Amino acid sequence: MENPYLPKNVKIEKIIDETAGKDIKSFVLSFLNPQDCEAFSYHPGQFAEISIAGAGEIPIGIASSPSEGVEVKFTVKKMGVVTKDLHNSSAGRIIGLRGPYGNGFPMEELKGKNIVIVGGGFAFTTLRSLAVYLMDDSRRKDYGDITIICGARTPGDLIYRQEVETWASQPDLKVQVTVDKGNADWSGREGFIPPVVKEVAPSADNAIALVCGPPIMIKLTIPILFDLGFAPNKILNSLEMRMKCGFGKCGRCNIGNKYVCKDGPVFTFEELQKLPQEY
Amino acid sequence: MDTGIIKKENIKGVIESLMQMGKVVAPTRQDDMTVFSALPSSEALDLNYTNSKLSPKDYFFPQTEVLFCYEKENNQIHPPLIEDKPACLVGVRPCDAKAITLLDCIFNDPQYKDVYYLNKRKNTVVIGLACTNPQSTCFCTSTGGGPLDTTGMDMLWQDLGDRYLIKAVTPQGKELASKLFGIDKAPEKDLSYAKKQGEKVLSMIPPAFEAEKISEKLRSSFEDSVWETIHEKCLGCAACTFVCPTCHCFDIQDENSRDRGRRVKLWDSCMFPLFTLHTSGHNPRLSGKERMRQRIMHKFNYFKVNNGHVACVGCGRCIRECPVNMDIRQIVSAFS
Ligand SMILES: Cc1cc2nc3c(=O)[nH]c(=O)nc-3n(C[C@H](O)[C@H](O)[C@H](O)COP(=O)(O)OP(=O)(O)OC[C@H]3O[C@@H](n4cnc5c(N)ncnc54)[C@H](O)[C@@H]3O)c2cc1C
Ligand code: SF4
Ligand code: SF4
Ligand code: FES
Repeated sequence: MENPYLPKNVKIEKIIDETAGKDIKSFVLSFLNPQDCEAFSYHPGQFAEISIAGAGEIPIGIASSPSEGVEVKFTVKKMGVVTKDLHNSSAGRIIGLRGPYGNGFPMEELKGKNIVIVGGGFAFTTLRSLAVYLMDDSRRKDYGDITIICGARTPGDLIYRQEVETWASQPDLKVQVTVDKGNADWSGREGFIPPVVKEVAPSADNAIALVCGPPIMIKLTIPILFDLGFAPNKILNSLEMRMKCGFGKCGRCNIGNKYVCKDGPVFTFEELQKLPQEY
Repeated sequence: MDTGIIKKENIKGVIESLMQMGKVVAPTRQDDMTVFSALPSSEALDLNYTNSKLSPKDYFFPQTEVLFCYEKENNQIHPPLIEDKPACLVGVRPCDAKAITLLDCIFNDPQYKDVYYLNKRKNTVVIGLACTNPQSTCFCTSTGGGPLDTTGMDMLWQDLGDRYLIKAVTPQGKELASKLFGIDKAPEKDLSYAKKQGEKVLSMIPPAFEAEKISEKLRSSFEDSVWETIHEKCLGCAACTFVCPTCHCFDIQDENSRDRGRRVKLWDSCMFPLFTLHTSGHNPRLSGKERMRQRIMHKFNYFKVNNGHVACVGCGRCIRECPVNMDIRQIVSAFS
């Protein structure tokens, strides 16, 4: 019987500073054992537990796409014990990983649809995984229009900035990047995400919207999507709760009868409307 | 053989032959309390108890359990030897035996198996002990159980005074019965006496509420004003969840000593504010109101929706151990 609590060892191949404040870094990991690598088969929207012996474990959304190869990327904000320990790492360090966990985005359901991606702040991580996956040459034809609206507080807080800028120049994507407050070297949009969604007004026709970000952004974006004609079951949301096990045992991440780790973290807005407002 | 008799004068011999087959975990007296522990000898067994202070869930799901040891350098993990030797749990009350089947729903779900729990579970025979002396805090009949209920048992023993009536429940129980006891055949009069005794005990535990109805009512009671006041007395000490045979929430922590350490799984409780606190400071269950609501809703609604049964077996421990006399029967009855 497989022991689900045992992390598999991975090497930190690369560490990337994502923000000017240096509080968000991406970690590119590779499995030491090829069998572990093969067993780690994931799709966008799932998460994993990063494990540091002596510090603990943390659930982190997978920021890479399986189409990018065998390395797995996570983008982590420095917060408490484990994230600080991780941030103090240098490339070459061996840490642990277990997963993947969670339902992830409903990839089958997204086929043939127009996709609207709305991401605020560093919650954009799993949406990046999704965007890269959809844009993969072998799959791009399976999806209709792709609209990406993302933003952060300041230009320095924009994660994956260069990559998003290259997306913006691609003819088969509609990309809008905004910051709450610009600075001298910012020539792009200024303003909050919800009004940008309103202005860009992506069509709800045969479309699914995926929204991740701070609670206030989500709260203000949802009514705009409703006005544009998106039904509650066509709006997807990825949730966070404090977690330990990641697979429905430790009992700490529930909202009503759903475990965010196992039944989520991705829920439709329709599902969320039926759950207690306790998250 | 499905039924039989063990005379009390022979019980020691029976326990000794069980001990030859493997570890026997059974009620013993320690510091004025009855607790389940591995028997050092058949003498230590004490079957004259109302119910144990803590439930035997600790055998499958210990209060602290080492998941693995590690060395910090290079994240070296040393998986433990997971116990899978045959064992026998003896003297488990019907409420507690049923509770094991509820823990199974969590630790043995089809997708993820908790190997620490399951290795012990699948190698353990559960011998139950019918309830003959219920306490005023018992309410198993309100949650679908009863003094002769055999759910979760391989075998049931019933105390008839100078003898135990043995009833094999599962194939494992039958096998054990045939291997073990030169059991005397149960005479008709013992069978009918046992039945009468069961009925008498049953009548001593009148249902306090209808779990089905309450479960249904709770579905739409998340915003009910009852929650505002019902938690007020509660100290948030979590004793109720630690003594509960069905509570299964746990934490995972790293215990370090210099460059090495061990990762442990340890009981935790939804009654603690830290249980759901995010590092950002956000806490979806801010006050005692939300935490009491979670405990009750989980037991009587969420668990029922997910697993078909309420996560309370009416053992009454939470009532007996609460320092401010909170009574779960009264709490749920507010929704009847
Ligand atoms: C599904 C999911 C995806 C996530 N994705 C990302 C991501 O891509 N990038 C990122 O930076 N952060 C992400 N988080 C949040 C991240 O897990 C927390 O910031 C992190 O656990 C904090 O741990 P710490 O040890 O630094 O803090 P401490 O406060 O020292 O944490 C102690 C322990 O509490 C638990 N914990 C505390 N806060 C949270 C929380 N918000 N969510 C879950 N567990 C928590 C963890 O088990 C942690 O080990 C995600 C959370 C979830 C649930
Ligand atoms: S909730 Fe109370 S009565 Fe019910 S099983 Fe748990 S401890 Fe026993
Ligand atoms: S034992 Fe009583 S006081 Fe302690 S948390 Fe439970 S209900 Fe509250
Ligand atoms: S994180 Fe343990 S149950 Fe969800």
